[in-house]
Amino acid sequence: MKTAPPMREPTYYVLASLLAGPLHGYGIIKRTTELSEGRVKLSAGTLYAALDRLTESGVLNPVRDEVVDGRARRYYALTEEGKVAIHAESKRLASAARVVATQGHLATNNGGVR
Amino acid sequence: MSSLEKRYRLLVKALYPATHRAAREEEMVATLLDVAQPEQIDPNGREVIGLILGGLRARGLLALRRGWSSIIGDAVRLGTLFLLGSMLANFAIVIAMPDVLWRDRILPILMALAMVAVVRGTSRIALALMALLMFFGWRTLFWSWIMSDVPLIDHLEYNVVALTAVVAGLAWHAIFGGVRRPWSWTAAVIAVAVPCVFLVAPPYDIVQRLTDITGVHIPLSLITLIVPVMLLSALSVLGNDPRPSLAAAMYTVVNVIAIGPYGATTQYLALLAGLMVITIATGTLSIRRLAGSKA
Repeated sequence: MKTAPPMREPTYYVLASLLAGPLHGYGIIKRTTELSEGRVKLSAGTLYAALDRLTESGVLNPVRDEVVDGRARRYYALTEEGKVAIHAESKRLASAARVVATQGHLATNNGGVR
Repeated sequence: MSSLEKRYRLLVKALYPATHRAAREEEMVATLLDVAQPEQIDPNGREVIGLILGGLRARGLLALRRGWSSIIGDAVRLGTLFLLGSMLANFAIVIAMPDVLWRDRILPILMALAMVAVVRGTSRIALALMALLMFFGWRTLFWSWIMSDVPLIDHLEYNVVALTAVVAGLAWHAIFGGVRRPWSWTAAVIAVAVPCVFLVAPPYDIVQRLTDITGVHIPLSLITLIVPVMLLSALSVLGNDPRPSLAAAMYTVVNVIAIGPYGATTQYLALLAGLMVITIATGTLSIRRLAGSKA
């Protein structure tokens, strides 16, 4: 299986924001900011550029349209492929984090031996 | 409709391609309004920058959907447009000069009309305008080349090379260009207006002012080379769109051929090489990013 290139942070959080269920544009913006603890603040323009790209590559899909207070809302959901992609990326990040955690541990031990 | 909504709608209309707007305008405007503060009247600066980036990326993605032949076709068209623009920048001043033959005075007008034809996607009309340009302007455009006894390659003037490249590009487009989608009239006006800046602010003034500011003498030919190449390369990177970089590469190659092996200092050749590297790097980067979205 071909390994996918690492995801950029905004992409990762956009996909992560949809794990709990479909969201509309504003919902995704709020949720990504929450999840990333304020690091990812998407503007509408960059959000929709990401949604276009991710829809094109098949990891998410628009699922339904609503009109609330006269404003059009389109909800997006992860596809099966999208779920696979976000989980694969989370595993990659976790194993990358482990590398530092173990090395850090060794360094502390060595420090103790000295 | 609130005034904020009107302004955001205007921005979306100005910045996004029509097909994208048809699919997305309503939800985008809704999201922009959702994000806005309750009493907000002016579009937020960060959102405006986001829309500019989003508009560029939407164009890149649209180009990818149309396929590679369309990407190359657009790049050639954009390169042709910039070459015509650089010629117009050189010649715009002729309009305002006293004691100029009428047949020279119409040269910049023919160049401007050819630019409009390129933007509107009518390459055959552009070709006809180029024929007229050569008919009326051969003396002026090719003067130093014809009057010199040295072999052709020693004196390849910028105009000769640029004109050849433009005609080749237009012919290529007329034959293989496929569907020639017109770009907007706004784009045509901007394309013609920018080189005409040299008409309002005479070139020597600009050069003088730049010399005053930077303390280095930067010749006009360098400005009309570096500015478009950097601009196009930046557009490629921002929009994940290889077309501007490819156009910049075409533009640089014409300048390399025009300077030829003669009259170029080492610094100048290094500069040309540097610009080539930039266009190749930005082009490759945008292609990789664009291809990533299709995978």
